[in-house]
Amino acid sequence: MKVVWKTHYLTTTTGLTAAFGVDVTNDADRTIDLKLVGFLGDPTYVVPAVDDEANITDTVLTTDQQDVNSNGSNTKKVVTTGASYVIATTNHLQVVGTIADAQGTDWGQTVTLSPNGIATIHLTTGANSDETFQQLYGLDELPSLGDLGITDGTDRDSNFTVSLMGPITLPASWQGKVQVAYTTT
Amino acid sequence: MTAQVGFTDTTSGEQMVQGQHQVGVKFNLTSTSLTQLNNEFTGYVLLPKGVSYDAGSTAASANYSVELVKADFNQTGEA
Repeated sequence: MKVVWKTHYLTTTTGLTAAFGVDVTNDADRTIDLKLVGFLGDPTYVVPAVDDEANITDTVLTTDQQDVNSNGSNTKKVVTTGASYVIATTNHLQVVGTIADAQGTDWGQTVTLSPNGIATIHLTTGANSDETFQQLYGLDELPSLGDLGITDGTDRDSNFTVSLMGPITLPASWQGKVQVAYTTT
Repeated sequence: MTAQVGFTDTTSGEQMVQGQHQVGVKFNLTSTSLTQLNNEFTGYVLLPKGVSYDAGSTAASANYSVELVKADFNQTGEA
């Protein structure tokens, strides 16, 4: 996909943005990566330093090694970045976690809290399927220092520990159908 | 300079479902930058296999143009 901006100026306040529609089909792998290669002219700019661990979402100053712009050259300076997604494929159940402050005003992926602040977490299940789910186990882990992801075992980069305040509440339609259990291990 | 690409309409970080989505692209000069850039700016987004451009759900913009240049970039299945 090629995006050409009409403006030839980029300042600290303007930035360049663009958006387009795509269709994510059955043929897509379960994990997909989007990659962006930007041709912004000879760099008089720098990109943020990357610490010890490189990440797909880092902004990297490199050369057009794949000749993405098909100009026969792979030495043109480019800025690259990317993003990785996991697709909940057909017959999968998607569980979405959202968080808000104690007032529950703004549900999103992040919330800003003071020390000893209180937040509420919503776990919402959405079946991307018409099939009946017979046995369903849900597991959620509050962050703690040095914790690892449940499914992938990777470092979660948690910087503080969160403790559970109250019991997990269930929607009315789930009452009597679901057992809730707690563990600290 | 920071660059970003991603689905702008997913509600849950890295998880998403199949179907129509919007891909967003962003280049920003960090606020500490001393100069502005004066160039022609072009960006290429490589869409993975199974993710195809959908002109119908692409909003027209006066600020940029979008086109599919290669359906199978270097035979990788990327577009």
